[in-house]
Amino acid sequence: MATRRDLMALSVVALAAATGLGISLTRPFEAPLEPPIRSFASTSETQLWDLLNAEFGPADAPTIPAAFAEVVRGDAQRGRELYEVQCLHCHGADGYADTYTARLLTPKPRDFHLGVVKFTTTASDAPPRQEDLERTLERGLEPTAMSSFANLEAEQRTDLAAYVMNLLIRGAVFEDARVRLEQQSPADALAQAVALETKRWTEAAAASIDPPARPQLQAADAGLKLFQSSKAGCFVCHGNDGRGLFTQDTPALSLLDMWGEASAPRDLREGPLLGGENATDLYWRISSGIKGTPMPPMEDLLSPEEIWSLVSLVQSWRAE
Amino acid sequence: MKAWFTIHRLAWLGLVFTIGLTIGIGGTITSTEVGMAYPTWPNINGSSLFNIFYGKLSEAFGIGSVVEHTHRQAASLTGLIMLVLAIMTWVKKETPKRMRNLATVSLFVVVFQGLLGANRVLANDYLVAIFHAVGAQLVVALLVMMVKESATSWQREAQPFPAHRVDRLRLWTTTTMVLLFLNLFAAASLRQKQGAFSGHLILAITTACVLLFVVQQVLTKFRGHVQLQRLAKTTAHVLGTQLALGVAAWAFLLGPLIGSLPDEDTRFLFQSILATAHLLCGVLVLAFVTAIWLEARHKLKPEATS
Repeated sequence: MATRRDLMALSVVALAAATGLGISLTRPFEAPLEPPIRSFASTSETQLWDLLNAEFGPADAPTIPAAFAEVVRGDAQRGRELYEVQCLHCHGADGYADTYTARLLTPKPRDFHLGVVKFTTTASDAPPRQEDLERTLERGLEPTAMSSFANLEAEQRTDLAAYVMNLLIRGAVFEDARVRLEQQSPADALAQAVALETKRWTEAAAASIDPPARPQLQAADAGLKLFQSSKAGCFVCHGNDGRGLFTQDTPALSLLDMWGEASAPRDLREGPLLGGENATDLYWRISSGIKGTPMPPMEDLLSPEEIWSLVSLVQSWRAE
Repeated sequence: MKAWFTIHRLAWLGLVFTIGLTIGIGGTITSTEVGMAYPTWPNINGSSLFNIFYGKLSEAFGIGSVVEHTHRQAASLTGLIMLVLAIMTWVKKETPKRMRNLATVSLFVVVFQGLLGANRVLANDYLVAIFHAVGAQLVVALLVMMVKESATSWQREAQPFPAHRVDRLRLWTTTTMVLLFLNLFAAASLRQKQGAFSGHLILAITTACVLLFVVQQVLTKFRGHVQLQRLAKTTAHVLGTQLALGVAAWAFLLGPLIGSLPDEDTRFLFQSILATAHLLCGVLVLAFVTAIWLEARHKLKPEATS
């Protein structure tokens, strides 16, 4: 039998345990790391960086400038809070993906500071739209470490994408402004870069997300001829049979992407296609290319009908 | 007798394997945050779970994938050990019913753990990750019970002690077990970035205080009980180490020393080792408390005092 003293002590312990558990369940985790302080080669670049931070907020307190209000939906600050829990360990405290965890993964998590992501539904020279990021968040990029975040609510994914848009746009603006610094002051370079990038991102967001209508009859044979022709030149990297000339077993032959990582052409017959496998996904991959990688855009070389014939070919291969 | 001895040795093997490999590597995964190195399960993009070509795996998916892969392999072998244990207890007729039940429950918990692990990866769900972490500790507690109850020393008679002392010890060892699991939940929430540090801190202090009281009770009120005395002394040492590791982990991962290490690589490595060591030491605390709880429940005979 427990004594009265035991019962009193037990009550205190139960109260403390309930408090601890309650805090654990209700109070959010607080990330201890602040974004790293970036250093630059010249004073003007440092000044530009400071101006950029004033315009877009620091990485842990993002603001969307009025000029980009039409491009970004959702709450970027709430997105940052989600980012700290879900994304920071791979993509870094300010989106540079230079964390130690990132170094343990292949392919490397996307570094957002160049303003480029691979899989978009926009023209080859256009930036991504927020829907592209939301789609990647929902689907993931299996079998890479970028897993699906379908378990988050749609609104949360929108907020997360809004924050990543902030990182991408500020990255694109910075890269654009930096090349102007030789002729212009940091403030003027930034103003011009913001004006130019506003136009690019707004146009990309407003463009149609649907590819041109697919013709009714699409023979895979026509696609195969095109695939093996010098006009499209797909066979140069993917091989005549679509299995890819360069494989992970022959890394010396691998190509590199703009982030300096190996980028082997896909085996189009088997294995996953990171950007998605439905007809629309394939159309955009062929039309716009995979941005930042050696997979070039075909939009200026091939007609929409020809691109659709290649889509039919890839789909027939994958159905075999 | 030979089969009984085999069960004991197998339970020991399972315990060492579970703590040293499955939980050790699992803790490293969370510390380095490479759990989603590839979001497929159990195979890696078509390559077998039992693939041991770690070099190729690392080249294709990074070193993180090797850490995740070896955790899955270690967990599979833990499952195999539990299956053999369960079969042995079913086959050997003279196995006590309690031991057979323990082995069966352990097997189910390990299988459930595997399914939780799968769900954690496939659904990318942090709540599942928290329950997966707590479930691993439950496996350890069950294995400790099997190790103790299959030992020849377990056949000894319960020692008589005054009833009020025995009741009190049973009450507080049970309380410690409950607190430990609550604290494990809070710690797993913190590690998965789902819960605040202060919740874990309050539960850790509460658990440590109660555990110290249990140790003090054993050392002063149960002097003649050799097994309890030995367990209490070792538990005190492990608890001291765990508290020191906890303070260090807080200081270097969340507190004032976070920026004190010379470079990013050293910081990451040190933090990962510290966090994993804190986790493993916590598992040892649970293992010893389970052993004390078991002794208090079964090897103490309450004796009425006038």
